[in-house]
Amino acid sequence: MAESGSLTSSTLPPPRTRIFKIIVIGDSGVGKTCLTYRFCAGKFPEKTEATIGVDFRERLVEFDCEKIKIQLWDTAGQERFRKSMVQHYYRNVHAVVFVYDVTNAASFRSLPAWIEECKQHALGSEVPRILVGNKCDLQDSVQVGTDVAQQFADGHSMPLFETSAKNPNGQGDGHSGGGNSDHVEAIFMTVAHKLKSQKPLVLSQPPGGSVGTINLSGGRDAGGDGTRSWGCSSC
Amino acid sequence: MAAVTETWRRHIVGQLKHRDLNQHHRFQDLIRFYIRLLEKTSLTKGILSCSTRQRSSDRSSVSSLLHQNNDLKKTTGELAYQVLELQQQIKIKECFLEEQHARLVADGSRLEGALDARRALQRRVETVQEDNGTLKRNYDELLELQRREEMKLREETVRGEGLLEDLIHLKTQAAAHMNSHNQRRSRAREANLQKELQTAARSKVTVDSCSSAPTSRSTSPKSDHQQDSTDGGHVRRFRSLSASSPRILSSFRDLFDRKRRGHSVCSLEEDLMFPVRFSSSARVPVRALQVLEAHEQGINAVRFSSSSQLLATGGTDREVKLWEVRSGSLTHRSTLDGSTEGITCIEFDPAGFRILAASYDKSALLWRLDDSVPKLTLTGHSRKVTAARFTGCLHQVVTGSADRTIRLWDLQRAACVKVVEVSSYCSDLVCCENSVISGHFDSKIRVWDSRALRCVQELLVQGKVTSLDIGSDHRQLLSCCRDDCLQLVDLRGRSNERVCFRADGFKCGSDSTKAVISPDGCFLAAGSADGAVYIWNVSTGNLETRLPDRHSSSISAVAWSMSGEYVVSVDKSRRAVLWSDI
Repeated sequence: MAESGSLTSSTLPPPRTRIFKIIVIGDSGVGKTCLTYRFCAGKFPEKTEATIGVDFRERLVEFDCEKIKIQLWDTAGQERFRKSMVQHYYRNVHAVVFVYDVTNAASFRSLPAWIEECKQHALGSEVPRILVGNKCDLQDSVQVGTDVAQQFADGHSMPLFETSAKNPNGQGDGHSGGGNSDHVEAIFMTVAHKLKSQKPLVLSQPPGGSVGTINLSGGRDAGGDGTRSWGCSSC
Repeated sequence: MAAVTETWRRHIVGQLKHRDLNQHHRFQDLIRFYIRLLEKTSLTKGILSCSTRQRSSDRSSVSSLLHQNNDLKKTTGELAYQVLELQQQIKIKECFLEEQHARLVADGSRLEGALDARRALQRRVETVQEDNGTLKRNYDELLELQRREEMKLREETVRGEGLLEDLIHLKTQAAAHMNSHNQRRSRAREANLQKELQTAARSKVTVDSCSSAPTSRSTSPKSDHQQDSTDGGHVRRFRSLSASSPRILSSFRDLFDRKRRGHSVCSLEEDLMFPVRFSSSARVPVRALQVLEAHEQGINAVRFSSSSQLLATGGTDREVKLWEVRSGSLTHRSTLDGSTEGITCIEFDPAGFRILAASYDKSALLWRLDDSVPKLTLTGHSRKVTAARFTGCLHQVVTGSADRTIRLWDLQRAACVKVVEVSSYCSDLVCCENSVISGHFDSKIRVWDSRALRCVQELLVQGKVTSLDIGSDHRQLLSCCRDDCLQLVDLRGRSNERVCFRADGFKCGSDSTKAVISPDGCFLAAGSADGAVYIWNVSTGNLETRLPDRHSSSISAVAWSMSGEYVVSVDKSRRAVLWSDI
């Protein structure tokens, strides 16, 4: 938490900035911490230890002249480090990132359990989820094939990304338009973009109010676009 | 006849005996010799004795002797052979014996070697045993060490678990905090957006109230559908929010209902509940009862509740703390958090159930006293809010800000109902029945009609106004200015008589230094930059007392309890001092 900056009031952006809370979950050791660190600090961490509870990482990004704060919740993978906090993870979450390790079939097999946990916490289907296969730089020891993972992702209607927090530029699998740029970054940016376009501008419209329709429909249109582009990126 | 026979017989026997005796001598030697020979023969020739005896005649004896001799020779030969054989056997035996002897010697030497080896081995056994002993001792020591280490490990494990538990607990708290923080921000955003919406709504209604309704109706069914879906999403959004949100919605509904009925913004019940402030005679404090470090950072505001039983302090540490005032001491009761920046100003509502605070985070916050989470956050100012006060109307709040606006808020709708732009930074506000009075950095005090927020009067003072206070009878207005002068203005009549209060050493320490009038209107209290509280007598116009030495830095605010009993002063270095006359 310290490395990504503690969240004191002095670092708070103006209240206009929207915050997207994205939780990153998956088995222990699949590289959740490295992924989030890569995205927020732009580099691969020298060494990491098991996350206890949760670590918060934040990054301010700018889309279409709007500043958006992406708040990543790097959750603990080990059951004993997360037991009492699970409900906090899922509270008001905007998106869920499931991570597995392509070199570890067990981490892939436990994905249904994670998805089940997600369901148990009454996460609506409108909350976007993505599946990320990490460590794909270790091509020699791949245990989870892209086709299998893609099938699984399709079955749960999630987009699949394979990447490596260590060496994200090493390969382009065509899932995102990242090209040569940082692939991890592209993944999170895609999520943020999806969230931004999906979310209506105003959370609580006055019910039955005759105003705000224009704003609203504008937001909805954008949402439609976002969904479409989302769909493309997922296949 | 018989006798005759007997006689001759005896004669004959006698004769014969005689002859035997005679002849026996002659044959004696021969017989002896013979016997000897016989003996010899029988001795040497055991085998042939039978035949020899058969031919027991003298003639055959020689031949038999010869024969015997032959036999003896033969026997000798045989014996000689046997001797040879035996000698051979002896030789073999000797050989064997020698062999055995050699073997014995070899065995002896081997035995010796073995004994040597045994001794060596024994020595080795000894040394090994010795080593074993040492090793055993070491092992025992190590075992003991291991036991200790294991114990330590067990302790450390337990401690580690405890630490982990604590850490997880902290993380849980951090997560909960982060969640509530996010939620607060999103709520603030919502409030903002709602306000914008509302402003938009109002402008539409006032411009063309008839045509706006058809406009909304004329939108396509598609938009209705979208509206519905938003409602659905919206309900989901709020499943975990606090109860205040539906209130916001209902207030929205109210807003639109009212708009249709007429233009009345305030309801009728509003004036009914305004409490009558009672005045009791103030006692000039003489000594400090309690000095405490009340906040983590500087304290900016302090206020007693109307019952004088509660004290609220607000600080740069973003917290409002409630203290119980009982038997001359302050005890911490609760902390109200929710502001993301320092608190600038606080006020209890007249009934004493709620507390209103202005914050550097550009908002004003309203708490119920029993809930540490703010019930409402009023956002809309673009710079820090310097003052927030309940107006005479029950559900109205007025705020002044560094953004040079004064805003009037409806608490039921949680919305800003009026914004007035002023030409200068508003530093403080006070309210009386029908007016709002604001102090500004352009050295002016402005009096506003509280319903329309129309400026009805301007009073000029000598310096930047840092604070205002109004007497409990609403007759006197106290202003504190940066020119180190307190000014008391009589609000009755048109003349607006003014009295200035100064004192040697009294220096207004900041742009927000707050001075107060005692509840009976007889005294004024203000804190100075030198850390002393100055109290003036209104009737004489002179300094009544100076209470020094308790503060180490500039005093930012003072408050006088409605009971007149206590004065509390707070400073920039976290300290609060309770003063009394006891």
